[in-house]
Amino acid sequence: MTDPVLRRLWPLGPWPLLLPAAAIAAAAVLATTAMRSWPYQEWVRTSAEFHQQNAFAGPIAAAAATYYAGRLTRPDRVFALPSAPRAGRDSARRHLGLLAVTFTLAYLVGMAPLTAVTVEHAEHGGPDPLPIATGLLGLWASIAVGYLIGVVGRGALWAPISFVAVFAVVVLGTGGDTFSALVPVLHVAPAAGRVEALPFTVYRVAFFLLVAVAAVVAATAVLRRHRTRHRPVRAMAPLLVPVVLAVPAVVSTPALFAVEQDVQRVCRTQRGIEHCVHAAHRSRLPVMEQATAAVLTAYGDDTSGRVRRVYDESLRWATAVDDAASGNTEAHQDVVWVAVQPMSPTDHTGREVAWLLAGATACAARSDTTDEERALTVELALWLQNGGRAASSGPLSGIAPHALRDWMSAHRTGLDTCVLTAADLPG
Amino acid sequence: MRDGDRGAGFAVGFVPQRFSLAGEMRVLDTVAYAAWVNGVAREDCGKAAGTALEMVGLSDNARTRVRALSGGQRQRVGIAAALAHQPRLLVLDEPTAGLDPGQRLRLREVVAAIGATRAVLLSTHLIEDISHLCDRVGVLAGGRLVFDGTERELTALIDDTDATAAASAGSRFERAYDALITGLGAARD
Repeated sequence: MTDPVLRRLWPLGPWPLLLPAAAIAAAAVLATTAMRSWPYQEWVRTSAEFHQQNAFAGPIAAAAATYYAGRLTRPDRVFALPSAPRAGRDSARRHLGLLAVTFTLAYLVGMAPLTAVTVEHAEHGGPDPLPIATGLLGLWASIAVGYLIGVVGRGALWAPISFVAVFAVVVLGTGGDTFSALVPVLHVAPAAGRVEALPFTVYRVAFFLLVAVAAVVAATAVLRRHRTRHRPVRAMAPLLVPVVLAVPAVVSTPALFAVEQDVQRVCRTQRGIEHCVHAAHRSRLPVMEQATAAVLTAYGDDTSGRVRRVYDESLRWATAVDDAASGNTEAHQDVVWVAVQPMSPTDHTGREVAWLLAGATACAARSDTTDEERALTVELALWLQNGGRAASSGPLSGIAPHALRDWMSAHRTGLDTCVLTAADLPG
Repeated sequence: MRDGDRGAGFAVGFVPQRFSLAGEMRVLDTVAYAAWVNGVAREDCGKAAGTALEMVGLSDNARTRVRALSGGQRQRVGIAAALAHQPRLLVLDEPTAGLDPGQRLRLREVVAAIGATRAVLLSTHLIEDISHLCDRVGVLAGGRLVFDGTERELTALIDDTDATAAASAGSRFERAYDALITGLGAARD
C-alpha cells in the first residue's frame, strides 16, 4: 500500500500562500506599469522601487502571515501544544520559511518586468544592492510582525488588523523625513545624480533586520510558553530592542540622499553652446540640443552670450559640490538647468532656455513684479517654445514673428529686469 | 491502564479535554502535521498519519476536511494526532466528555485497542470509562494520589450491607469514591 500523499505547501495547503503571493506580485506589476512605459530608465529609481513597492506588498504579507499563524499556532490546537518538541522555534521556522520564500519570490516576480525593462533601457549604471536589500528586509519584517500578531492574537481574524497596522506604518513615511529611516516606503524617490545616503541605507538594513529578528524571537518564545488562559507578556521583551534603536532616527532625522560620487556626464558643444547630461540620460542630449536650437531659431540666434551652457538638472548637485571644493562657487552661475526626468519629460520643450530669454526666469526671481509683467514674459516664453508661433488670441497674436523678434532683441534689458508689459509690445 | 510495549520519538502523546482543529485542513494533513510537531521526520509524516488514522478507524476519512466530521470523529482525530509519533504513553483528558452514547462507545473501542499496544493514562469522571477500559484506578484529591489500585479494590472500601448505602442512587464505585473523598475530608478536620 502506498504511503498517503500530503498536500503541497503543507499543512494548510497552497491557497493561504498562493493567493496573497499572487496579490503581492500583481500589486507590484500594476504599480510599476507607468514606470515601464517611460522612454528610458534609471537604475537608481528602479532600485528604489524595491522598497517603494512595500506599500501594498508589506501589508498583504503581514495579513497573510497573521492568518497562517492564527490557523496553526493557537495553544488549544491539538497540533500546537507547547509541550511538543517542535513547538516554538522549529514550528516558527517552518511557517516563516514558507511565508518568506513564497512572498519573496512573488515580490521578485512582481518586480521582474520593471527590472527587465531597466536592463534593456537604462543607459548607465546598474542595480544598487542596498536599497534593494531594504525592500526585501522590509517585506520580511512585515511577515515577521504579521506572524507575531497572529501568534499573540490567536486567530486569523487579526489578519485585517495586521493589514491596517502595517499600512499605517507605510503611511508614516509619506508625510516627510521624520520616520523615513524606520519605514520601507519613502515619501520621495532618488533620481540620477543623487543616491540614497549610505549611512541612511545601512541603518535601514540593520533596523528592518532587527525588527524581523525581534518579532521572530518573540513569536518563538510565545509559542513555547503560551497556554490557553495565559499570554506570556515577558516573551515580548525582544521587541524593545528595535524600539530603542528607533529613537535616535526619530530624534535626529538622517539625510535621506547624498550626491552621487564621480558623476559620469556626456557633453557636446554645438553652435557655441555646451550641452551636458548625466550619463544615465545620454539619449536625451540630442533632444535637449534640438529643443535649444528651436528656441534660438525663434529668438534669432544672437543671445549675446546669455545662453552658453545648458545642463541636465541631475548634474546640479555634483557641480555645486565640485565648485565648492574648488573654491569657485560661481563657476556655473550662467548654466541653464534643464529638468531631465523619465516621467512626464519636458526636456524636449526648451522651456528653461525660453524662460531665460523671455525674462520669465528674472520675473520669477523677483517678488515685486506685477501680474502684467509676469504674464508678458510667460507669453513670450511660450511663443519661443512654439517656434515663434503665437496663440490665436492673446497679446502676441497679430504681431509678425520678425517684428517680435526684433522687439525682444531691442528690449533685452527690460525683459531681463522684468519691467515690461503687453502695453510695450510693438503694434 | 493497560501496559504498552513500544516507543519512538517523543515519549508522550497528549489529548487535552478541549482542543481545536483547523476546519479547512484535511484529516490526513492534521494528523501528519501533529506527527511532525511531535518529532517525526517530514518524509515519514504521511505514513505515520496513515497508521494512526487506521488505529482510530478514520482511514476512510483521510481526505475529508475536518469541518465535515462529527464530534466523535473529531475526538478520534485528536487521538490520532497524539498517536502518530508512536508515543510510549498516551494521556487522554476526559476523551468522552460531550459525546453522545454511540460516540462514547466507539471511542472506548478505539481506546481499548490502543491500550493493547501501549500505556494509556485516562483522566475521566465517567464511571463507564473506568469500568470498560481501565486495569487500574487512581484517585486524585487535593493534588495527591489518595488511591491506587483496581476497581474491585476501590469498591471494596464500602460496606454493601449498610442500609443507607443500599438506598443510595449511586453505583458501588460512586459510593466507594464518595466514601474515600469524604473520609479524607474528615481526616483533615
